[in-house]
Amino acid sequence: MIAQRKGISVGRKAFLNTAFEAYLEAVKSQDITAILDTYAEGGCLNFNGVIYDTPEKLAAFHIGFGSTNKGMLTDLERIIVNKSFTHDSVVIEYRLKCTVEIPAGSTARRTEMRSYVIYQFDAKGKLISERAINDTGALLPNAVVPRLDADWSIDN
Amino acid sequence: MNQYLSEDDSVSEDRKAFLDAAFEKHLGAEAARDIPGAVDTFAEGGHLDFNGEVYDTPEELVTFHNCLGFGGLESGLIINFGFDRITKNYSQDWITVEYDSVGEVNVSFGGEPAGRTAHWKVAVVYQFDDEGMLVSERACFDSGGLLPEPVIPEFTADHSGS
Repeated sequence: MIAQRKGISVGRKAFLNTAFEAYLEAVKSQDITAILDTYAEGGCLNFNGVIYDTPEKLAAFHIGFGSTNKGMLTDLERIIVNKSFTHDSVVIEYRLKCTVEIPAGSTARRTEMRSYVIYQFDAKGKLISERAINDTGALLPNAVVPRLDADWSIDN
Repeated sequence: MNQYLSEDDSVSEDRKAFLDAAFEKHLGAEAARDIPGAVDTFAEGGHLDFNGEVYDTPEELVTFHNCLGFGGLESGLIINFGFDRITKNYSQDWITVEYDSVGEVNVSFGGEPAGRTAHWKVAVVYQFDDEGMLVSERACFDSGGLLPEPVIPEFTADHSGS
């Protein structure tokens, strides 16, 4: 059965796209005030299950994570692999290229982490909710889950 | 929920039911540890992208599911794979699902023995064709969640992480 097709309207996508681009410009600017200004009052970030739901907590996250290029990750490069839409959200699948020093004290390495983020906007185009799931294991020197093929076993 | 959020009529109820049925067929097979059944839910040429690694043949898909632990085998990376919570979002041709996952990690990490219960996050975009077969399954799996300690700490006001 092929159910009736409606889909997200062109106008709605344009609205969401504008809101998302404003967010992206703010994070690219590395200006914490501009980044925080993209959130609605009461807007929150859920990063791998940890909630940041006040301006102070959001600032702590963005500075600590590396949005201002002074945190855990530096030289962040956001490559969008897929962008899709729901009625009120933009879903982005990223390849996040970054430089890390994990574990602490190790030599800085350039690496890449997969990230999925669903950005939910209000009627003013402000972020109500940002839910991010990231493969944080990719920041380590050795893959936690390597390619699972015939050569893989729990013993190696 | 405000009016803006409640105005959503972009994906019809029929369409959601269609997508739900396709999704449940795939997830149901995985939950039943039926790997051939799960692989049968992929369209011809359908693929799985798991944290950027692509599995795009039936043989690769079977091996992946068994190794990760969906086969219920003792040789799998995760034993007693399950979900605490599932959040779904719909568009016309796909469902995104955010999972709060739980399982026993069958590998020793960071000095912790195998068999430890772990909780981690996974997001999956399931894209279906008109027959309800999986054209593309793209998973972002927080492999760091399998470790005893988080790779990224909770960031606090001193910006150093707690």
